[in-house]
Amino acid sequence: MNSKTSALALAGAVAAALTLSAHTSFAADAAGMEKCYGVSLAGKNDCAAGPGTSCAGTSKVDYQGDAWKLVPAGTCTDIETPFGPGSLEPVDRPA
Amino acid sequence: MPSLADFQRNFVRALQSSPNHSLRRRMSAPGGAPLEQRFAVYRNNVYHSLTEALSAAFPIIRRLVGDEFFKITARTFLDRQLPGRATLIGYGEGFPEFLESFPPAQNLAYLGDVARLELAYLSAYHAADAQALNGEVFAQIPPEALETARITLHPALRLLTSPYPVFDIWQTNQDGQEGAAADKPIKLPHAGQCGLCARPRLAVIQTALPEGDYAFLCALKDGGTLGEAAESGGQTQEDFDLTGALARAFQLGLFTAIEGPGIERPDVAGPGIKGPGTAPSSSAKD
Amino acid sequence: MSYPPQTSPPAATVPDILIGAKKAPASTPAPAKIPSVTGVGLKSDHYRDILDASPGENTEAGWFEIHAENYMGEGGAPHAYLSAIRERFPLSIHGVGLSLGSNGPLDDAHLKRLKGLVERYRPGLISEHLAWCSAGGTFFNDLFPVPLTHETLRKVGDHINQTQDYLSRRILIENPSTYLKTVDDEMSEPEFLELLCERTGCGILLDLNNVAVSCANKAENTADYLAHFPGADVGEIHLAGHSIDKGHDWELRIDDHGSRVSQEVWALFGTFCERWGPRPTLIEWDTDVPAFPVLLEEAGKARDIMQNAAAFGPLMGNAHAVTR
Repeated sequence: MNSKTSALALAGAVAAALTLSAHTSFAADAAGMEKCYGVSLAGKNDCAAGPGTSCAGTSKVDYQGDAWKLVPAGTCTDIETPFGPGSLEPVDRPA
Repeated sequence: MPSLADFQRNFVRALQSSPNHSLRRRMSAPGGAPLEQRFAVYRNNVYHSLTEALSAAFPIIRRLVGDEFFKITARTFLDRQLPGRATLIGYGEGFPEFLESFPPAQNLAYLGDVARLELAYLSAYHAADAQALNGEVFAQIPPEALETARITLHPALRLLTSPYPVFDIWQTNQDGQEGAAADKPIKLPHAGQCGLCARPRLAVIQTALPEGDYAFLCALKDGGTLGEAAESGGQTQEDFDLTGALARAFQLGLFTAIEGPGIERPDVAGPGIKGPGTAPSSSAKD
Repeated sequence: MSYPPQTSPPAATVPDILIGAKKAPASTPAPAKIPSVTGVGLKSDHYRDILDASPGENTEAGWFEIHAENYMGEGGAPHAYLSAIRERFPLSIHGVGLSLGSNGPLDDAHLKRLKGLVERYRPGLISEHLAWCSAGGTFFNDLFPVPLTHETLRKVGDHINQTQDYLSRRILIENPSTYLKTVDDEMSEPEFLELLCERTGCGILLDLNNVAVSCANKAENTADYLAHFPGADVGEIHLAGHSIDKGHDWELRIDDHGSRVSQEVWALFGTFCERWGPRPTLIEWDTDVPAFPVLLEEAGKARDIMQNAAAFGPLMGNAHAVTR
């Protein structure tokens, strides 16, 4: 596009976008936005700060193990692979 | 008597194996429990707490591979890479690459990018605060100044692209998603996804984006003008919706400042550009 | 270095409305100094309990303590909540990552992050440990023991001086929980801490649970430990629960902060309060964190013991020095 059209297009898009987004204020509540985007669970992560430190010790022991003897056994079954639902067959990385 | 330096060097070595002769001579075990058991408490504290730290940082990875596999994977990672900073915020930067190179996990090629998304989430969560630009500021900019305008993006914005449907995988594996979302299996191979993590207030919002939106935001992030970014969006996606991309950006509070020829200085341009703590009252609930 | 009186709270980074907090009365002062009452270790699970309470509720928690390292991010929810809490309560910043006991130099970047927090929140107390947790640029996320030698005293003393000078604040040093004994010790832990205070003007954070854990693990006597403790230097007390690894032909106490304070530790606390008077006293609970009211119950018990001791005990010193 040439720059003249571009400027006009931009101005139009900005104006339209402002109108479109006007129903939410800019410090808007997340709930509204979460609804817009279908991220219904985003709000529940308010405390998901990730790992924290503490000066506490633990009595739990994690033993080393051989991962080769294990198969990943989580919720991969939620993912349908080309080899059928629940399969953990290889999914190659695209080159 | 050995120096403090010797003691600490031997102590660190013993975390990975067991106390050597020299260290054993410097420590005693009064009252019963053998020295090795006592030393093991320190070793457990290190490895268990850091495994828990990785588990807290990468809950979706843990879910995808299961607890047992995750623990062993984490332990193997820790043997190669302990934290380099005394805060665990940001810890795990090397984990995505490790997952991609960890032979037992090779059949889940998407793990690395899911881990990158989890890191992006945490990074957005802890990023600096910033006030989104008030829409009125935009509305007052002369149309001819928009094309050459440059935009400062919110410091919490993280952009991510992957050959795998990482946003769908992430969403499907959220806790509490046993219902509807989990019933919709993700089909692989599947088109890759691009998207963002943003934090308009406290909660991180992450969402996949149309490719044009992604290219548009990447161009802005790289310092391109609004005109260049719009063009980049159009080149990437034939039916790029500039209005939609801008509306989404406004709603997610992605823009924090705008400057360029013909634009008034931001500090006199109106409300909404002030620092944190001056946010206008909003229609937020509570 | 004096500890400047501070009365104004730091600015909140996010307005109350965004985090749904009830407004505290505008006149609520925000003293920086931590009074000799009970406080609670701040956990993110409890942010809402704390902010949603009306003034006058939850009086058992008169102040809060954070682990410095958990607030070394730049912004977002942790700081928004902490700012809102700091507006209403005195705060103590407790570091677990400075590694004062390292043979090598302190991490300047970490000190800088700590200073940033201190400037942002103006805490009433700042504390760290007599321990090390980093070596050669690697962080182990656990507190390791140091031999109690003159060499260690000199090095830890230098590190404390450096920290206090850099922060322009006095800090408190906590006695660690230990699982083994270092045979080269040239003095007892109470003696070591007393000498550190003399050398640097620092104070002591006396963790009575750590006393119980370490003494049991080293076959030492807690009464002897306390009898020789420089109580006047104590500026804060920690109370927590520990677990016992048993079922073998031996036992080890594990400082896991995962249960109620043990009877033994309550007794030590009573003994301390009777002899030395009340101090800012913190309930720590870091593993399997319970609902907030459980922490308040524990804090309430501590308050009762402090009050009883004040009523009946001979107060030998309430000089929990806050200046140096």
